[in-house]
Amino acid sequence: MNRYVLKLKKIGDIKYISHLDTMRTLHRAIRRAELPITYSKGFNPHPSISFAAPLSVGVESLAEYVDIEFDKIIDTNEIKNKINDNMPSGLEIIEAIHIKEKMPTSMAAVKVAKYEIKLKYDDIKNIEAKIKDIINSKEIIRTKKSKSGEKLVNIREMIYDLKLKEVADEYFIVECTIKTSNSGSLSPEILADLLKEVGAFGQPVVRRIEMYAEKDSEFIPLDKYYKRV
Amino acid sequence: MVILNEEILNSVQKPARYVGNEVNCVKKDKNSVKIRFAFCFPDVYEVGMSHLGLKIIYHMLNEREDCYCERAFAPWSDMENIMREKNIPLYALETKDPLSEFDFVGFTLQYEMSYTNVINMLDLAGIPLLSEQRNNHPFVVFGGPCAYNPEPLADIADFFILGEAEEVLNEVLDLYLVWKESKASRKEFLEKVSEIEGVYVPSLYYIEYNDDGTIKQMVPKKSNYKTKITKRIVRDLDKSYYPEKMIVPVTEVVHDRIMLETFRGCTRGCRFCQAGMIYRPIRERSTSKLVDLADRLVKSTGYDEISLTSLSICDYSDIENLVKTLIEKYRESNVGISLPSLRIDSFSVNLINEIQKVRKTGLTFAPEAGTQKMRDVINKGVTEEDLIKSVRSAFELGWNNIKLYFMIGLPFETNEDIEGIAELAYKVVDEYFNVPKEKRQKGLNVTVSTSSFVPKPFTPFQWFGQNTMEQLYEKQRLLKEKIKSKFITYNWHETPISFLEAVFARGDRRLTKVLIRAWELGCKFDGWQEHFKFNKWMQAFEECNIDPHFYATRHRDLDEVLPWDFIDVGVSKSYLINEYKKAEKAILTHDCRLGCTGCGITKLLKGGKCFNE
Repeated sequence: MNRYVLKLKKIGDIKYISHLDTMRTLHRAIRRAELPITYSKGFNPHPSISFAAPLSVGVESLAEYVDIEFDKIIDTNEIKNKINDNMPSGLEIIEAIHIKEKMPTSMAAVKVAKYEIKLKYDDIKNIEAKIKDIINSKEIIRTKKSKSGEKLVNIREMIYDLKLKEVADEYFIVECTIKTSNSGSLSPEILADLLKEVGAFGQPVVRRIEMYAEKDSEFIPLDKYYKRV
Repeated sequence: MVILNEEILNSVQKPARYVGNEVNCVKKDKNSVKIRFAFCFPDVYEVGMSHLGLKIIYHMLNEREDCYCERAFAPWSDMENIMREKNIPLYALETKDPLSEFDFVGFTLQYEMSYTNVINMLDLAGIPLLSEQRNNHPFVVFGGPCAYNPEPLADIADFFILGEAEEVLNEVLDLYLVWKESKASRKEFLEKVSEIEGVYVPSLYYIEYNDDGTIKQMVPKKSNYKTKITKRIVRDLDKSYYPEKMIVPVTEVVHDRIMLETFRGCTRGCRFCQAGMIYRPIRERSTSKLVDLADRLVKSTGYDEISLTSLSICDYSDIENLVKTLIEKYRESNVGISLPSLRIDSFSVNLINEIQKVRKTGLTFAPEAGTQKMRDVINKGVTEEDLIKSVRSAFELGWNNIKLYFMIGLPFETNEDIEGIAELAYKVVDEYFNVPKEKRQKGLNVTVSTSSFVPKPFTPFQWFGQNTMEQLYEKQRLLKEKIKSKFITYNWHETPISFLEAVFARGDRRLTKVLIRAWELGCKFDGWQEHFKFNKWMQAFEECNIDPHFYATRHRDLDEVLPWDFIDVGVSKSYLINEYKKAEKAILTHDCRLGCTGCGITKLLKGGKCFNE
């Protein structure tokens, strides 16, 4: 097994494609690049591509992580360059990392993700107060949709950090670090909804900034977390 | 240039439909070209991007340095509402420039129920709906199979292209360059372009009618305008253009795979089938050419599936070798091969078994009719024995999900023929249980699906009046009653849609105003259940004082002047009449691969043989 983790950017109009579309698009780019991606055995072979965490339609990202296997060892720069030559614009590999066989997948490793959320506002004081309020509270109960229906959850537990990053005439941007893992995730749209309760408005424009694993009670960006072979 | 901000794109379903920039889409400097051509598909992106013709024309026109071909699709209603509210004109995906800035706006007409979308797209683009209202606007050109009866769109089109566009479109563009330099009038261009074989300019003709509403004659406004428009064909597919790159959409489309066109035309001669007549003669690409194209396309697209396309794919002379070669070649690199449509014989079942080593999902057969008499009437040279043998091998090979496709409302059909559909389905069920238990897959499911027959121009049934909706409902009810087995599911197509298809498939120019009125009343995406508004259509007919039954359900006399009689598709009218008469007596006409049946197509080949032996 020759395991690699790719760190990708997804910016511009390509953000409008879905998670499955992104997988297909990456798969086809790898095929065009004629890199020997490993397929599962059996009747219906699948390429070994899995993303750390799906990204909603319309959300940009500076840090998508993908686990991938090749049939042989390939130079990481070659992987990066060959795939990038075959990608649609906006989708770009920042780094290819050759990782040890025993390391957890990025899907298993990721614990939180950092996002920026851009919204319009009436009065910024209300937004500032609300952010303080959220940080100081112990419990914020909201309905959360899941596969099995709607349920009430304490979303405060899923918010690790929240701060105002930028205030412009037309909009403001908050930066947040929220739970993103295979044991549950908070959608940045739910945070946007909290801010909309105090006068923020408009379609939230969201961008994923980084994804982190946890090591010794500290959050480390996934690309720093993985040891290179 | 139109700018769609993220506020807009984030608020619509599937925003990837509207942004373009896919792999292999063509980027050019619009100021470096002399002709801007917008290829328009009157349906949503996912449907339009599944259309092979679009890919051929798009890449072919972009081979020309003097031309930039871009694409436009019908926006879904959520996007349309925003565009109308914010005054955003319909734009082409590549440059995002409004269609009104183009030299040509070309629509492909694949189905009648997309006509209101054509109108809606022109309106969204700010292009006047009628040819006579345009002056500095783009030329609006139509092509595709429905263009073989161009008349319902006669007042909307500037001109039509009949037949295969590969050569004629280039001739039109060459002429356009000369015309543009000359600064002559729009009318002069239309007169000039009408001289090109395969081009029809409706505004150069008017129609005289008889007292009973039928057509008396079509009259050229000047004596030098041609009175017969002959369709265009490409003689040699190996030499004709086929793209080596195809756009790879970044969002999933209906047919998301390499389409490899193996041949054009069909020799079977089913009497209901328009494609079988209008795409004659048969012309095949050679296996070596196809294998070479497959190789280039696999490399340039990254797709992992190749679909061999054509009518009746198993008729390709070298099909076994082609399929085996491709399977062998791509076994290692995980490229799958698929076949779109299947004929009923064990050979086809075995072939598909070769290919689908993987999932035994549904297998579709199209007996088309329930009794032998009816299958002989329509010249579907298939027997009950063929079907039973095929399903038996399918069951033995592990399939348990069989779909049977039929038509109801065919000419010379009786209630026994309808009941025969149910009987045939029961025989398929029986055959499943005849296969030893250990050899068959558990859980049988037979789906019977009926559509209502729509008589089409240039078929032996073009004179036949469609069954009324009441008759069709009655036949569906009868069939429902006869199907009681828990192994058989019955579903049927919407009858009102088939009725409207019959109106427009065989309509004349007087229908343009109905189309426009229906669109004004809110009709669009008529092929989509959730959008189809039958009462609005009936209101439009009434307001225009036009009886739709005159077009759909009326039987036409063999000597009636038909709205499309001025078009020469190669197949002669006397052949069609003879076939209609043979149908009445349920006499078969053999496959033309077994010997010429004299349809008349050879005259388009200028003495050549129609089948490339």
